[in-house]
Amino acid sequence: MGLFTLFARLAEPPRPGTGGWKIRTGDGHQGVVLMEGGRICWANHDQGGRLSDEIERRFGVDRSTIEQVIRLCKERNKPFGASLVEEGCITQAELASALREHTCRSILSLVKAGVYQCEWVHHQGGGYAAETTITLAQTVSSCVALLKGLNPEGLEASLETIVAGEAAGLLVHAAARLPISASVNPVAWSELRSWFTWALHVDGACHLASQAFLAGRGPKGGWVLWRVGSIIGLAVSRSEEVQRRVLLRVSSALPDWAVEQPRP
Amino acid sequence: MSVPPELDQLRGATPQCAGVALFQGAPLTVIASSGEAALAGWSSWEDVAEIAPSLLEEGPSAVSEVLLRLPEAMLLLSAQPGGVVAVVMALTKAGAGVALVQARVTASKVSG
Repeated sequence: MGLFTLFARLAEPPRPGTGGWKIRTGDGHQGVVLMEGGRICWANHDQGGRLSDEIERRFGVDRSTIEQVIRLCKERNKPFGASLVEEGCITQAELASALREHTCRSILSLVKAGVYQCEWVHHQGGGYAAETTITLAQTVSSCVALLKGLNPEGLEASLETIVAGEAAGLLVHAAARLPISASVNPVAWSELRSWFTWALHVDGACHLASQAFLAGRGPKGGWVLWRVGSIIGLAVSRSEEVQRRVLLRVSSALPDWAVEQPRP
Repeated sequence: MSVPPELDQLRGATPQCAGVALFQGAPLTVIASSGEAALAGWSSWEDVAEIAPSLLEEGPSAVSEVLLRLPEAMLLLSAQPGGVVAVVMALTKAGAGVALVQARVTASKVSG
């Protein structure tokens, strides 16, 4: 299974979408993708990196502190990430960032190893904090961004300067012809596929110049499609008022809109 | 099918208007036009007619109006009772807002 084929499978968890995908790879190893309410919480591949290593590397938390938190977690039966925040080792935002990167890298590792089995297992959910879970659209876009050497969080921040949490949207890499960011406002899997295909079709037909944009307006809301360099942006709103605000932000922000940010 | 005779007049009434066209049918075809679409980056009105259904009907939501905004010009596509109208406007110091209002007024006056 390729990345998009795997996500097409992950996009259809039995209701209410809380449980885990147990994944076996062609090299005889296994992994898991956990979901709550249809959102991705965590993924792991037994051949992938460890979250604790990632936290040590990115945030400079020393190994002895991490080991101490792991001991506390076992004693108190508490989740590792939340304990790191409670103990003041990292912030909630840093935890969310580390979890997202670990999840995406684990999924990429699973795909690279060759997914041949993906089975759903129901469970009650681990009570993940909402801010540490992400949509499938965000996850697959972040995976693509990582593959392209781009910074998923930087891309998402750039997208949110336009959609501002009130519209749904995407960033598409024109040359790669793939989505590299999805908005916090959820974009359903089917929308992701149809929106980025349409955006690429329109961009190709209209030969959009950098900093040009298209805006559609109708009784059921509207959309704005823009291009800066090799990035195509799309914002979709369901109300005229939101559409008006998105259009204002696009027209004022595009001259200075910096989106292609190298990874730190 | 009636052909509007007033496109030249409409275009002449707004100095910034570089072109107006009326499309009808399925697939959309050019029924009448005045001026050109080149200012908005299009080589012909036929090219505009070809992409118009994708923009108006096939996007994330069906829309009745599409604005293509370039640094120095804009193209307005508007679904009117008599067909789809395209208006190309040059942008002046008066700003894009004024040009958009003028384009909408022009589009509303085209009757198929």
